[in-house]
Amino acid sequence: MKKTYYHIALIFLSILTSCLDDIEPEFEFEEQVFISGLLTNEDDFVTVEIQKTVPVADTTFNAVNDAKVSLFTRDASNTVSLVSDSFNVANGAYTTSEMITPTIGNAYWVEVMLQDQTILKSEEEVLRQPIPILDMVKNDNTVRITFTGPIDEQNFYLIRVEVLKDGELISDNIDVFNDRIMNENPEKFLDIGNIKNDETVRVSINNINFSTFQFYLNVFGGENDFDFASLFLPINIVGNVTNIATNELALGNFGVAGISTMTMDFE
Amino acid sequence: MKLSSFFYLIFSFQLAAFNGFCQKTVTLAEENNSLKSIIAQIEEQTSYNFILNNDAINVDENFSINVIEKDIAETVALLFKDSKIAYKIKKNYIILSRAKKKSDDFTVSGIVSDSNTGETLLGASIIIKNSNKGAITNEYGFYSITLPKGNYLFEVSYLGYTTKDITVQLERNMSIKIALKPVSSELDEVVVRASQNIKSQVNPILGGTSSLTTSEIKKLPSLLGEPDITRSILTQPGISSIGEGTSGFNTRGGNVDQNLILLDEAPLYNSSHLFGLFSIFNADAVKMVNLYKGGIPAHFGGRASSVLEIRQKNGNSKRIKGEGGLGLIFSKFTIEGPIKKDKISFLASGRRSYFDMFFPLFGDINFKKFHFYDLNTKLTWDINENNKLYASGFFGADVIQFRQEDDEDDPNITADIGWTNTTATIRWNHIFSSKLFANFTGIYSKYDFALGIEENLDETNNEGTLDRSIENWIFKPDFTYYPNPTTKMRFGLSGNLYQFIPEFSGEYSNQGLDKEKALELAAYYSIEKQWDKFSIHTGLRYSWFGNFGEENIAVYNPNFPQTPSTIIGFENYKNNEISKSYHGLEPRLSVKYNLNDRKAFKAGYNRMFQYIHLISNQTVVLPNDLWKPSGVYIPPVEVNQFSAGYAFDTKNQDYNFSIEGYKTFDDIVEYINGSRSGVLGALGAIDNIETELVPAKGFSYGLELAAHKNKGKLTGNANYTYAVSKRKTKSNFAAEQINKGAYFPSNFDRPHIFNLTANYKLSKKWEVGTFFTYQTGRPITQPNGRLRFNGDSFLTYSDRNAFRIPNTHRADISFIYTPTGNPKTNWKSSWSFGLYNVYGNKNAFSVNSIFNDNVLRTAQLSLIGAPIPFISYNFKF
Repeated sequence: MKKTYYHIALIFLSILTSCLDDIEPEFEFEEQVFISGLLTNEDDFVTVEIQKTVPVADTTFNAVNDAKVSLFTRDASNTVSLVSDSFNVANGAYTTSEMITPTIGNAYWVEVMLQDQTILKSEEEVLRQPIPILDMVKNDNTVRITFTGPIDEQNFYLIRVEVLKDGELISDNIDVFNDRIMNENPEKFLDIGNIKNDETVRVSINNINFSTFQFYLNVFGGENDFDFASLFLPINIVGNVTNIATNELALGNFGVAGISTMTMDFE
Repeated sequence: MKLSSFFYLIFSFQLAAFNGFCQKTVTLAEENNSLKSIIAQIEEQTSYNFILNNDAINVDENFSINVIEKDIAETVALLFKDSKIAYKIKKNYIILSRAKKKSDDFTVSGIVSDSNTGETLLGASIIIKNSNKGAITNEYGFYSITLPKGNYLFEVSYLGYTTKDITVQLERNMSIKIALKPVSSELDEVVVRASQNIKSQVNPILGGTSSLTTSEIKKLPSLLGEPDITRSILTQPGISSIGEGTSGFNTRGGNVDQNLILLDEAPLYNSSHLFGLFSIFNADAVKMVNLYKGGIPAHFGGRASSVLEIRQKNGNSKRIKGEGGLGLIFSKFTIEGPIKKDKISFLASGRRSYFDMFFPLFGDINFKKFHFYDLNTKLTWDINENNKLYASGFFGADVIQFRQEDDEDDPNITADIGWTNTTATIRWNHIFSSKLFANFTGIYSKYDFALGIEENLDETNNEGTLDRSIENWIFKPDFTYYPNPTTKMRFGLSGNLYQFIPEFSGEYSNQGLDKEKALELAAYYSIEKQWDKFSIHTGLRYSWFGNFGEENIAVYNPNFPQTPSTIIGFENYKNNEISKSYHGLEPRLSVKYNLNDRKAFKAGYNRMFQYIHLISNQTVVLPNDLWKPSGVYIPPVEVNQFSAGYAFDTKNQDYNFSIEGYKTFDDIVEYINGSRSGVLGALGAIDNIETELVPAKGFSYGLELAAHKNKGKLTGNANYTYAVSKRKTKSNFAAEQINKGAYFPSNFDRPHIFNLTANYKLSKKWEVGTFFTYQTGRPITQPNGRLRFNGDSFLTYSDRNAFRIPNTHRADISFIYTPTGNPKTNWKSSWSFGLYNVYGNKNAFSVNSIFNDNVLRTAQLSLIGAPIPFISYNFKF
């Protein structure tokens, strides 16, 4: 229904936007650093991507390969320890040299020291319990995914739905949700439409923290329609990364999530 | 016991000593001796001293008195009996002053009206000849002048009317109804204005006020030929907007919602049809338009920046009269007349657009309905000399139905959208005495936005309706007291009950907006006083605002920014329980010093509180934007404005010039980066709207220059405004700060605005009008880089409003042809035609950049990017 809201807004604007002309302005460029990564409860290598922004008209990827990255944790007894500062770098992707085994309930964050000694730090986010996916049931062309979320707290979800046919990915959608409005019921539903027979649905639900939720909201909120773009205040894709010298938000996010996955073939 | 006797003794001795030393009797035998000498003798014989002002008391005046051992009080009473000297004995002092003369003043009062129509004339001037005293009629045409007994010659004048001299033999309180005759009865409207020269800023004490006549508004070239009051406001100095064709206006750096728009005293919340393309005010039904942006009298309150006061005509009380117009996209008709001659009159005026009738000609247009209509009505009952009753109403509606056909990504959608303004005002004028005029007003005002959606998915249909309204119930007793010709006092009370009512059904039924109630109470007093060269208009308003339950208010962790994740609980307020209240004093001061009758300096100070807020997306004001009352997390807007200016008229007032500077300091709220409150909040999709807002402060300053030419074939005005409007977030949290907590330009910060309006009477039948405007482009936030994430490209953005869209300019032209009417009939007509945006300049409204398939595209949006011709036929009988 949210999309419908946008359609209403479009109706308003379509009346107003009588003339649209492509232009080629020269935008002033300001170089910034962008950090991204997501740590889940699964035993895995942790990857942090670091890049510098490029001018608007530039289509290249400006990887940062000379930063020093450290991953920290804080346990329930408030003890801080270094998880890893040994990362292998490839085209701006910093991957831990060893597999990491995260602990649910611990807080995790990264600190990135750039070549100019600037230190960027992600917010300490608690690794939450994975959300159990109870079932996936197909009714006509709609697949209903049922999962549970604790009702005593507000939950934020990053949900990815992949549809495969004969092992080949035919659609891949990712979006964020929260259960603020319907939190009184521990059982939650997500309906996926237009699923045909012989298709496989793979869903993964990340139980994320608010800052990471906000970051992905900013990511998905970027409009690709001129009319919609006129409706909203533009926003940088900032999340939980801060420049510790200035205490100002920097671009990017390093999220921490409890993840659960279910895959089902529909005949 | 012994001790108490001792104290009694001591006190008795002291009392005896005091009385013994205080000599109170006098012996005098004076015959025509000077007061100075008598005073000296009294002071010698007693312990009393005289206090007097030599300018007020003539001590050389002779008095006679003969007393022996007489008490001082009796002596003084005897001495000044039948004299012009008053006295007061206080302790050992005798204070002398000039006795107030027993009043032989009388008051003449009444109504000034149009002799042809009976329409009361607001702001007519009554000057007492050979003096600089006089009065101006109030909003109901009432005047009151108190003068000493005598013979006077009153000169009564009003622009567009023949000046009338009236001889008044003032021997008692009198009521005189004055009827002025219009200079001509051309198709051109009754010209209504507030003084003999409407554009002169020399006479009004209040700075920064503008009055517009309906004839002026009708002469301005307009979009599609419809006279537009909101567009005419935009031609005034100090007024700007986000862009052409948008709703509302910004006054001296204030938000759109900071303008109090009153139609017959009823507040309006959306003053536009079709998203801002047309004003909801039908010029045929309007009598007077006043804009207060500098000095705002204390009887106005509730908005922080300006007051736009629009009053409807009362209706012709002499004969049935009609007028109307036929245009390309809409038509209008007004009828007015007496129900009982000179007693009860009515007015009904309606408009209806019909350009949607042409839509079937364009197959690809998805609008099934797209029109607006409005109706102004008024009933006036002149009950008797001291009582008058007015009942007026307005209803305006926009109706849109849109159908989007199925495509790959979207389902079929049918949307019914509409918004209505409804007002009803009932006013009772009562003249308690010739010096005390009272008006009791009851108002109902409602703004309603409705949306119905039907989505046809493959298998299922989703339906939902949303209806959101803001209702006002207002009661205002208002009194004006005229103690003398140079003093006017106004005082009263105001009570305003707000109801914010959301109603949802179907797919919208889970939306989080609650019904809200609020009460705003105010008391005010103002006084206007004029001396020879110096004048003052000052007042004080006290306002109180309470937000009432029932509601559930989120409680946030104070250590974090207010976000949905930092809610730590909810506080429930029961029905009618106050959840939050605010109050404050709003002083108003305007002073004027006349160097002579053509030059004046002015200065002023205003404080205004605003307790309700329009939650918009800050770029375009849309009809579905949400109004919210102040509450726990949304404080009132407070604006303090200082202004000073100079007004100058040339000889014969052929030209008027004015210059005025101002500075405002504002306490406001701003929208967080990426806020979607405008669209989602308005549709009820955001539970806690405060999470989209951040406390902020701001300031504006500017200089406004205006010149008017009033006489001759060529008339018009030019004005230039230099204005700066900046904002700054006050949050301590980095995530809430905009531009790292530094000042940034507001969305409507347009430093340079130049407007030129000119009308030229080519002949008796032809008149040409032109308008030109040049404005600095409004601020925008622009991309300053790009990055890649998860395979997609994303833009990074500059500080908010760090750049500007290109400067805008536009010229319009109109011609009015008025054929010679048939003298045997009352029918008169005219043709109006012209071009809006003559040279088709594509004025940028916004510049946006997006990625389509990872390819960057930047485009400039222009709302009216081509010349728009218009033609309309107007008639009157």
